[in-house]
Amino acid sequence: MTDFNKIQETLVNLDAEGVIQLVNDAVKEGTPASDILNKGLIAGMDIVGEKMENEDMFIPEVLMAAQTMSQGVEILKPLLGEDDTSAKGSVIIGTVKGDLHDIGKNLVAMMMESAGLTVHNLGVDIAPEEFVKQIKEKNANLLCMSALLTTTMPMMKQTIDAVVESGLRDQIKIMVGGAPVTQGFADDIGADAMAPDAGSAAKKAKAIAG
Amino acid sequence: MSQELIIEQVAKTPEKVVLCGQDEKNDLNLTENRVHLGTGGAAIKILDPDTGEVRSTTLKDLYNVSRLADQLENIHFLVRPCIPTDIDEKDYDINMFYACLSGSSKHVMAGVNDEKGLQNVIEMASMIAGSIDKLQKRPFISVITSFAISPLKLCTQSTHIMQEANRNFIPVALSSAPMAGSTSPLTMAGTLAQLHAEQLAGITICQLTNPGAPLLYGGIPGMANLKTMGYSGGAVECGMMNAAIHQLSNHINVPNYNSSGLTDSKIPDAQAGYEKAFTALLAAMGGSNYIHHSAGMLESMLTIAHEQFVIDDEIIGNCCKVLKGMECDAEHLALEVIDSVGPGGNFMVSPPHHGTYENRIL
Ligand code: B12
Repeated sequence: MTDFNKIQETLVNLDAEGVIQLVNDAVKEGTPASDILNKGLIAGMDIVGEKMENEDMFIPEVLMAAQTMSQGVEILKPLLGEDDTSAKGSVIIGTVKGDLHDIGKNLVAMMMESAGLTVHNLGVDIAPEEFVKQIKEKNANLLCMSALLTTTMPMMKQTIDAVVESGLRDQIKIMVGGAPVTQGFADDIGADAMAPDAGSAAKKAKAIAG
Repeated sequence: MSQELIIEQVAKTPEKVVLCGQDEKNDLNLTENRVHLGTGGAAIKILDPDTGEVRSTTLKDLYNVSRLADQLENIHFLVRPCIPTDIDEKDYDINMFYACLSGSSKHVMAGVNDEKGLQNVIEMASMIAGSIDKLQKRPFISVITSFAISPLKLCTQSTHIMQEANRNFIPVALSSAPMAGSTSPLTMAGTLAQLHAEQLAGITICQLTNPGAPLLYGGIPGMANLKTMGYSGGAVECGMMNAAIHQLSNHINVPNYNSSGLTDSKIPDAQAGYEKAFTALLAAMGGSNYIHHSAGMLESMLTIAHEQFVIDDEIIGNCCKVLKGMECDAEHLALEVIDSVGPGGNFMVSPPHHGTYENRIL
């Protein structure tokens, strides 16, 4: 029997080699890959996420854990069924046009990835048309926009308008964030959600699109 | 850019930059180790002076805060402290400068959104000065451009704005603001090394654009809070790194702009007091020529508060006091006074040595 707690613990302790070893052992033992992923790695990342929210762990450590987890996922990928990999949400994230701030946005993207979502990080200065194009191409079900400037916040509204116009609004949820963005603003522009930090952003993303 | 090109271009940069006030008494000579501290940033929130509640900043706030900073005697200059979020963003540039210039006769510096915005601002300032020539002779406005996106990238838009300022001989602060741990190495020395490279690139562009263009080496080394990646402007390391900025700029004979006196606290509390005092004093003792962000700001530069401007004016006053040092001549040693009071006496009734207690010699 695979000890999932052990995998979680080893991940939380940032022992990359140990995690890989345990994942390989579990595969050999015949444990279903989806169980190793969900009950081991993702459950472990949930603990990491919680520790991050409580500021019990440094972000670089959180990112190390996330890296370790994706190494584990690489091992499992060939064994996972279509359902296990594609059922999770597909996220488009970018900083809106005119805005070059990306530290927070990148952190949000990394946290979403480690929560098991497929994340397409478009970068900075992304025009509404580009967001729309990417939603179609990537068949995304969650659009995330970041803005750090009061001068670029209106671009979020313009992007949402472009999504509505393209007829894609029904197939996609929209989440916004960034230091000046408030829940009130998110409501006003017709976004579905906002989150003040990367931890809660990943949680919300999982809840609405995972 | 080759080393040769950089050395050649950097050498063309003026060693002396005088940033004027509309009123001459507020002129700032930014040479050698002359230290000045003032307001800073582009805060988007204010603790409402009446209710104490946090709310978005308005054009009226910007004007009011400019008047406040004008009256606070230790604040040397006005970097536009907040954003007028109640007007259309296309109207920011000219209205921000107008609000600052009409509220204060101290030197006004701010960023602008685009080249057109800068041209409008220069036109307006020329009208106030009488002509563009008079403005260039006594520049009472200057611009900040975040031309560098750390690590080691140029921002196209801001670089264009910077060059437009160069072409008009309007002084420009070349801001590069790496955050140790996220956009530069976690180490202080590594952050400064990267920042210096970014500055040399920016200065080279300016001097190639217009030889002799007045500028400030603009080092804003910051630090990431490794538990959130948030900006930790109040960290003592920020004070240390900003103190080093003047040494780096001095090394290439260019006056500097930097940042200190920030806090990560959301209210004027004990944390705000010690973070500001520590970092502002460090940068001041480093000889920094133009330290912005030193008055009024809270919450890692997102918020301002009227009372914080007044408290910070006091902190800046204390920094300047420290820089003056202690005089040690016969008069200040006051041996005669000690002698005249004698063993067991007290100094409360001995007359102040010069003038009144108001301007006593310490
Ligand atoms: C670092 C920084 C920069 C760096 C950016 C580097 C980079 N690669 O991103 C540089 C120096 C390049 C820069 C440039 C400028 N900046 Co700047 N910058 C900052 C600063 C200090 C910190 C931002 C940051 O990285 N924080 C750390 C991260 C981790 O936090 P965060 O971004 O808030 O993200 C968290 C949450 O908001 C949330 N989140 C973020 N995105 C998303 C998205 C979603 C979907 C969700 C759910 C959540 C979410 O989760 C994140 C993680 O917890 C802020 C001040 C501040 N305290 O916020 C000013 C600030 C945002 N900048 C400001 C300004 C004015 C500028 C410039 C215009 C300066 C100029 N005069 O040229 C330029 C603009 C360039 C451009 N076109 O974008 C002003 C904005 C004022 C305004 N009008 O709104 C601020 C507030 C500073 C100030 N008061 O002066 N800046």
